[in-house]
Amino acid sequence: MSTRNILIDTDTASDDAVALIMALRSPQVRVLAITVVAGNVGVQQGTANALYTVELCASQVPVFSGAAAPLSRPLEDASWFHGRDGLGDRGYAPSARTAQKEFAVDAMVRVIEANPGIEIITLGPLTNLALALRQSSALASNVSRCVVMGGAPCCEGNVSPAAEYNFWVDPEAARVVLRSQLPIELVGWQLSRGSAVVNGREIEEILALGTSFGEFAVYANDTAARAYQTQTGEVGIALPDPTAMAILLDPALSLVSTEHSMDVQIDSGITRGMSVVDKLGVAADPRNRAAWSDVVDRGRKHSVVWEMDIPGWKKALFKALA
Amino acid sequence: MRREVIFDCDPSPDDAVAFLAAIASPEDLDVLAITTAAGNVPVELTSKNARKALELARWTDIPVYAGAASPLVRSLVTAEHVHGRSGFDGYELPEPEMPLQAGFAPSAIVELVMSRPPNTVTLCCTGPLTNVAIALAREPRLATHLAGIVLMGGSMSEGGNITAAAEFNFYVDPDAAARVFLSGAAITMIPLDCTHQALTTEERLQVLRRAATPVGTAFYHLLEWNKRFDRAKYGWPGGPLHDPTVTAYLLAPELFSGRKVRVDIECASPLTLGASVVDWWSVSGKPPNALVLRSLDADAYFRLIFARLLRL
Repeated sequence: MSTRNILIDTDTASDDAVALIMALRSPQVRVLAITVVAGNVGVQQGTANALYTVELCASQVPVFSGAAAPLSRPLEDASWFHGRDGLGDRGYAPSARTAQKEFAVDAMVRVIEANPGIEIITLGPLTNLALALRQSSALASNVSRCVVMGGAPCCEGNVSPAAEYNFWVDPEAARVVLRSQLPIELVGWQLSRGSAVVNGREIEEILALGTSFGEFAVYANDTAARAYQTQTGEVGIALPDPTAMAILLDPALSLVSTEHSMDVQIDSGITRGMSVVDKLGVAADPRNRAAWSDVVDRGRKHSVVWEMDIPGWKKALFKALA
Repeated sequence: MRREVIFDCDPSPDDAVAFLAAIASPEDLDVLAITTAAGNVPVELTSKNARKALELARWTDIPVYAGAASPLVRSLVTAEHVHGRSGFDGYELPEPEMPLQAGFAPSAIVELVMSRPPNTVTLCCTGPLTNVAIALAREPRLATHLAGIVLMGGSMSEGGNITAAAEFNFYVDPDAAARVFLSGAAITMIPLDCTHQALTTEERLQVLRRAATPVGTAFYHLLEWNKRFDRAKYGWPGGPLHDPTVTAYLLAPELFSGRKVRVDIECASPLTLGASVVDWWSVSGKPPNALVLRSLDADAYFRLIFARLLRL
């Protein structure tokens, strides 16, 4: 397979950083740009974290700073999960590198339009991508795959009972993206749970690799692992963004996926940011027209990944950190 | 004091009167650019109408930038039922020859505002607030760098003109309006409560006709065509001349009265989507975020705006 072009949009915190390492160290893809959005941490901190990770990988990929807040709401970050600096507050010395001057959304539009067939992956709130869709009507047709880490399709959320963080924090942007013509593969947060969690034995194995990547991946996620245990009772490191990255890099890791109409709840009540998947194909029924006609008539169906090749995912992770 | 302004608009005729009256007032206002939004008609047409109006007035050196083709989150709703298919029905103006600028309207807004000292540029908004919201997303410091935002939109006690609860500009892009009102910018909001006091009666429109200038004649017919809708719909003697209230407020704020209050925009309920909830009696405990103008001296308003327009 020839080298594929990809663009990564990220709110770089601890699990994003591992996903970046996977992409930057993969021989299968060429990362053309990393665009940063506010989410887990503020956009400046996220940009600093992306730059740190890029430097760790000795990569020259340009990093662009983007939207500092969701489309129409104030930012509510996830420092309670990832630590104030997003990397577990371990005092990593900031990279001497700086972000590009160009606004991330402009860079996104430019890079995508100049590279038809590009694959993109979003690891954070969808603010940058939504803004890019509003800026360029040619965007979607130039993208061959759009892997979105976000949502809690047909399951419980991680920030509210109904919603996963990326969709919850900027539900309006998630709606813009899901209602676009982008060919989306949705990787919900639940795929990183259960046996996909990097357990204690695997953590030891990663540290035993003796690489800077492995050490960084484990320790930067230390705070998040504790927050995850409080949240779910599961012990170990859950890595939502790296699971999505693994599926981007190797589509064969997605074992079960189906295509559906889907939408996001954008009100501010108990289902804010809920990813609603029309699993039974009832959205086009006459009784649902008032609520679903925009999605059914103008949108497209997107792929939802339901099951992942767990041993394959772990193998991909270990390989990236070796 | 001469103020620099940018008009962000979705030109139907009243938007055009708003920016032309400003262009005709160089002693008070310096129009840096016109940026167009999707609203009354799609953005291709609002961009065309803006240039038609500028060419009619022979002010073709004002740059026009096209903005977003659809609202921030939702699908576009237009108002051809009021303004006709072109948005400029009622008088035939030639296809514009002046080009659109290459840049994206929200980027142009950011560059024009941020390249000047703080408190220099006032944004005059007479359409859905999509471009302004995107500009705020691009540059969070924009809100406090602006001298202010004067906008026509919303409704307090007047009811809605597109749904029972909402005024058109806010209804088309409620999410953008919400973002603008949460931005911290110094906002002056001119709702329907104010603009519905300013009707284009036959007597007022005759001023344009009698002038017998190209600009006067064109806008006489355009506004005459517009008011047919309002006459049929509401039984009024004329249509509300909404958008030039923004210009009039900048030229003569003493014609208006209002109050600094809290305004929030409904983004969730299908029934009241886009409603502007004005806390007139300060019962919410939230800090004020807008000066809401509730009434105006209509006769003085028309004298001022048409006198300026007829300078062109």
